[in-house]
Amino acid sequence: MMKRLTQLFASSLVALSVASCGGSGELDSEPQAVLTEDQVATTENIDALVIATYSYLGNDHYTAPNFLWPTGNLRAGDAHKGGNGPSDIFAYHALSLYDPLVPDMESFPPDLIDLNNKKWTRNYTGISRANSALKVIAETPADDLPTADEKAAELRFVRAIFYFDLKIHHKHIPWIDETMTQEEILATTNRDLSDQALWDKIADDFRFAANNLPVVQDDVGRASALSAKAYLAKTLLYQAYEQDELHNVININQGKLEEVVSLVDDIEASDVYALFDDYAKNFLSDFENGTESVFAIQRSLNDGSPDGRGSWSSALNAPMSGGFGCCGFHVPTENFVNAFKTDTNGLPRFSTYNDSVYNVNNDTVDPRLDHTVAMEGKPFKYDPDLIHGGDSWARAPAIYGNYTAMKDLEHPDCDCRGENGPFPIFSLNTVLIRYAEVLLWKAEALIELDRWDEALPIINRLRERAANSTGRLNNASLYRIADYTSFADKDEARQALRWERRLELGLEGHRFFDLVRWGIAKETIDSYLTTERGRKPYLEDASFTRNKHEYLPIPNQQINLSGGIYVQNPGY
Amino acid sequence: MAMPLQAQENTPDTEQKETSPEVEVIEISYGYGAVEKTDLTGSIASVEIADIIDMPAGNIMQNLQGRVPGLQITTTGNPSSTATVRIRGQGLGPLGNNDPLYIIDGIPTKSGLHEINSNDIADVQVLRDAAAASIYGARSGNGVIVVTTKKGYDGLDFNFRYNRTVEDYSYDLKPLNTVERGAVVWQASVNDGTNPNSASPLYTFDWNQDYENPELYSVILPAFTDPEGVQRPANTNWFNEVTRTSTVQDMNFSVAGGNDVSTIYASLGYFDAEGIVDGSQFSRMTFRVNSEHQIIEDKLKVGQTFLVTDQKANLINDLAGQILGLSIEQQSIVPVYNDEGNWGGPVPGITDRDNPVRIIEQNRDNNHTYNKVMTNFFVEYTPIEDLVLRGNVGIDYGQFYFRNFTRAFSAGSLSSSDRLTVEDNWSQNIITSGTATYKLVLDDKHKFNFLAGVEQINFERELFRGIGSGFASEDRSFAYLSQATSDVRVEGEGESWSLDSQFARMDYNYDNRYLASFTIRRDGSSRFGKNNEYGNFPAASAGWVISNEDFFDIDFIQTLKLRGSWGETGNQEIPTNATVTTYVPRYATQSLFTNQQDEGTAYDITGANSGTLPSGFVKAQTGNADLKWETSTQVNVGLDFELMRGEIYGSIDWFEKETRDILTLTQPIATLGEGAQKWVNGGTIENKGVELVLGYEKWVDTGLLDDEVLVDVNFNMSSAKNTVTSLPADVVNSFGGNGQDKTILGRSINSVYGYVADGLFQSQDEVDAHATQAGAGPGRIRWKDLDGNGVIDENDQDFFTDTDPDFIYGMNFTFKYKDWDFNMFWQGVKGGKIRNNWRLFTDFTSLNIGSNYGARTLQAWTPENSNSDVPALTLIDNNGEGRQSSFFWEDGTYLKLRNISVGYTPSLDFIESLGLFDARVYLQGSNLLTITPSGTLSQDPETPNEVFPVPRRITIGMELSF
Repeated sequence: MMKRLTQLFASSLVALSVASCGGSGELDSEPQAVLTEDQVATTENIDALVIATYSYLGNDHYTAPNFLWPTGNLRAGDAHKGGNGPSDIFAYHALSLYDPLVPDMESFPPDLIDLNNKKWTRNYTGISRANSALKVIAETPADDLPTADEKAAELRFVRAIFYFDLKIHHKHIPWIDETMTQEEILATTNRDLSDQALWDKIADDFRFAANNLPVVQDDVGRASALSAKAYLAKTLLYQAYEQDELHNVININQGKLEEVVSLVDDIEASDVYALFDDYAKNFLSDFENGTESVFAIQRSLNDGSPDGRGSWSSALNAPMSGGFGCCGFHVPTENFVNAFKTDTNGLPRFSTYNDSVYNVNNDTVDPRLDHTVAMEGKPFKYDPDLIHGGDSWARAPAIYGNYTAMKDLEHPDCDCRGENGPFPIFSLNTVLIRYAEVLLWKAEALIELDRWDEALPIINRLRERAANSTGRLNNASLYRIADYTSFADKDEARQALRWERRLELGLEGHRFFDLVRWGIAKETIDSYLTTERGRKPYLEDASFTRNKHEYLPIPNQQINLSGGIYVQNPGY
Repeated sequence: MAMPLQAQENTPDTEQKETSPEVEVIEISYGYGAVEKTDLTGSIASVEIADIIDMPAGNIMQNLQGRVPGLQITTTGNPSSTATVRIRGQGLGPLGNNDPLYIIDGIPTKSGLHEINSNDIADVQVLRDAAAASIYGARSGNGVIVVTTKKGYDGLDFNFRYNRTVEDYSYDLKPLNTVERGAVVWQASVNDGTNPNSASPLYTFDWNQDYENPELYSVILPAFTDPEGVQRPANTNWFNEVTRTSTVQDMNFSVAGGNDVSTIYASLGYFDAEGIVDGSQFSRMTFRVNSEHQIIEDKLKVGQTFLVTDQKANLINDLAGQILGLSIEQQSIVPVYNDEGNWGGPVPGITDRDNPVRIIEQNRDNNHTYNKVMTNFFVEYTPIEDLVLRGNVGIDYGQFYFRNFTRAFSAGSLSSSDRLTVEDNWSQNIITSGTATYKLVLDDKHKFNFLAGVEQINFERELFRGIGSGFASEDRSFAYLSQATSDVRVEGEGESWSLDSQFARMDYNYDNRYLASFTIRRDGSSRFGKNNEYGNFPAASAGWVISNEDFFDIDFIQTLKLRGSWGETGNQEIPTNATVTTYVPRYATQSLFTNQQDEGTAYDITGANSGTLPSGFVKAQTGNADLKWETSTQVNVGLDFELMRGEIYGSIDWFEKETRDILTLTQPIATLGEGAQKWVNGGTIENKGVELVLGYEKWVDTGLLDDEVLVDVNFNMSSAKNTVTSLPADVVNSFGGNGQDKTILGRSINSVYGYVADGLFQSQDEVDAHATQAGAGPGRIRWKDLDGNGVIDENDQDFFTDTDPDFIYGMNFTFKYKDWDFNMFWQGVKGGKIRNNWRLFTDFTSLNIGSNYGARTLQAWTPENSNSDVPALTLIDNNGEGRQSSFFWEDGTYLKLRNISVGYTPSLDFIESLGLFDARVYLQGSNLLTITPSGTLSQDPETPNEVFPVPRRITIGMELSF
């Protein structure tokens, strides 16, 4: 028996060791097609990491755009969502009604994606790209990287753009920078810093950029000292309107306004930027990165990417006809179009503009209307042979009407057009700051500093440029526009400035944030809804709640993931 | 037993009328060896191959639907015969992996039995409990299916089988015709108080202009629907355009034979299937040789199995769901072709979706191929009696190749340029193993079976993809990558993993009364983190054959066996790189649709507008050195019985399975930034249930007929209740809920979260009486005020149902009389809710206003037609009726007549007179009848959405042996 067992044991050992020879017995599978942190986080790769950070500005999309047409225009009474009825990207329908049924807007097939959370998350992804690169710079000895400050300046500039976006949408946000460990990040809440302290952080980043970047960059896409100053001015202007916990504007900080004026003075003095002679050039790809573009997201096509790095933020916004086929989103409102009407003096019809729907044969208008909105019988994108067909160009005219917003679109025959499935995209840049707006910040600051007489020539400068911008318009409308002769008082100056912003920057994604900054969102939107509700029944239940809808909610998912340490915004 | 007409291992001709289980030794393969069925203590379900042998041989798992307790199989009508298989409930659903492990002649695979010719299969065993499955360690957590293919035997037989199937399916979604749709749009617009004549550029309405008492006189269509004047209004029924009657052919030729030294089985099979969606196509050719050779009698044996498969499948198989969806989404006013012979397509007033006939026609020749070589070689040495040493080398080699030529087209306002994508995905799995088994009998009463073994698995995969555009010809024979003139790109990826294992098992039988078995496996996996490279998976089981006890003297019970087991199994299905932090130079990614967005690093920093852009790096994921397998602990108690001399037989199994350390990908808080997500072990899910088999089998002398009739009736039923008991904090919200008091914890993983629809408001009074609900009105859906706070808001969501059936069951009836056999098989699901996505189209004009709608909208709610369950028509969805709610969910219960067949086996004399050895002809029908509860609108609850529907099938077949 014993012998047999020994034999058994020995034989088994032999069999097993023979079998084992087939494999090494080692678990030697290496990860394939990936890099480690050591390989990536090197001084040589700094510029690649900077590019990756800029890249995220252009990685936007119609579901999370950096051209803020949904949150800036739909909520401001300037545009309707459009598209294939309310359920087509319901989250934007909910935005238009101000009371999203779900704060996260997440329960609506077929658009199950929580767009509020998506945009929030993408902003922090962009921030993390900047922070990773900043960390590599911080760990690199100064001698190894002579351009350390300049690279850090670019990164902080882009980071601050993402923070600025978060700030104007959500007000109270967690501040994460390159010095923080994972534990510190997890312990960070959206209330660690006050409203004002957050603005200071954003301003610090832009200030650092302004102090460490060259005045002009060889690469047109890079931040410069001047574009940083412009962003700093914008930040300080927002910060100047101090809000209480419920978003009421309680003070306008004169010191900040002074700084805005002086920053814009610096920019003007540099002589780098100017207004285009023709307003149209701002919205034509032939002139991109021209003299009026202070900072823009660079778009491209045929660039080796699967779908082209074009203007995906506007991919839904082309009309249904006229050389396009999709998707009829971003439809200007009657109220917005009416705002372009002018009186016999060529000035806005401040009190009566919205009494009736714009009539092309009777109403005189500011010429900027025909650069901004295409409508039945008028040329699209300055082409007299491409006449807008009204309802036949629209997706759901019974619901949203049939206007087409034009600034973010190019001509269908443009070389800058790409085709992806049904979506037309363009290599047309998305201009985040254009010089006209920089001038308007100065005018706004001057008015709030009680120096409205100095603001008058700035506003008139834009109006004169508008008056001279009819060369491409084929006389499609009755144009009448003139200068303001004077402002009787601060209120009149304010009214003119605010109207001028709506016209000059119309549908460029600023309006809602302007209204909140000025503290007049509730009354403006109520007045819009009173009339527009009768014109567009989908707005029947729209209602703006003061002290709530000035900001979007903190995404529920992020509150949950924070373990409850994030604090939801008032009212939600 | 009803013996199949097939190559039996030892006895090609064993038609027995008297069943005598005492003398029949049935061996069950259960991993690196076999056990006598009577000694079995684990829970193993055997498949009656005979019951399904007549069915087309696409995928044996599809044919097993409803036939094996504990096995939940869902299928579609895809001609590539896909089947989703779940053994005893499921784990984490979409984030986890729920597929069982398949062992095919000793070669493990997770990819199913798709490439195997069903005609070659001799035996399928489903290892359900841990005692049976844990010998497969870190891959056994979802159960194991062991497949053995046929072997040769003494003699020489040729066998030829052929069957041909005709499939059809009629869609009953009843899309509106062109004029009906116009009338529905008019009604919706009138309900909204908007001007119907600006509701859609497709129609002009002649009506009385009275919103109080509206009356439509006629719907006037334009001469052309497009501005260019080439597309006239049509009245297309897209379902008719894209569906067809399809045929399936299955042909198999095999030879089996041998002598004292060598045996061989070889087969050549050809399976060719069309689907009912036009253009869908699948074909498979398989060639197999299995042989065994005694080199030294009773001492040394070598053998091999060898399979080559060549599969071709058309891209339309994968697009069929989209094509069927488009068949109701695309309006009937769109013609298939316009006046210029180009594709009809969307124009103003029509949703921006494609022409489904175009998708079919432009993809008819877009086939992909999958070739597989699966082979195993073994040496068996018996140095002393009852000791068998076995060495195995297996190779599983797969090659996927697809040259996908997407043609340029324009259809209405849609257009696209051409694109060629050539993809080559190569994989290789090498398995080496060695086992020793030893049988020991002491004192005639103590029987031992010992097994010890080692195994090493090395897997590698590499994918290459080339992409190009701008081809000078539409001809596929021209379209190779070198002919591309623009947008040329290449992509590639690879992975590898390995597994290093040792295992042992001991089976013990005392006097055929007390049985026990112990298993242990130790698995080291490259997928695990450095801190957890090796995992141990133990199991133990015991059995008590009560009927063999001396004291047992109940006459009508022949066999009574009680079984119990406990054990642990594992699941290692995570990406091969999951344990390490990775960075990639990601240039750009797709950004086309709502769920996509560029995550790349390229940027046009110089304003060039095109060309290769500078780019950088991104962090892709965070590593986790502690990562390990997920572990399922399973307890099983079973009872086997045979009554009335085996005429009645059955078994009951009760199980409880707890899966812990579940592998999930986290969804980290946004502030952690890019690449923060990582794979973690976390969470626990429980599945428990009961499985039951009951059968009756007897040759009955009815006295009326001049011969006996075999009556063979078999019923099986199983249930599995799923409960999530814990999940990590950053995963728990992935399954719905509000993240606070309402979470998936304590519920089934298949629970559904949303609003509860409570009928339609019948009047303004009802609206006023209800909680404040934005968008409320007569004819609108009323949402339940679940929190009772008087306002309908996000807090009125809750988990309102789940998709888990209460139980699933199957009933098989076989009768044989003389040369005739008759079979009927019913399969059913009781309970579990399904989402009927079609209702987005059939019931609403507002959720996709540019689409076509269903005929149900003609019966929508109006004050006069208040019994309707279709909400009042509107173009403005202010009530948010597309939200996730119980409105779209219905009872998934069904009972299907899966199979009914009649076969004729001519008498031996007749067959022999033809020079044949055996012959048989048969006719069968599948899915001829589906019974659903009255509230279920789905035509087929098994495929309620945009997936390939399961067709009706009529099969005629024959089999000859000579």
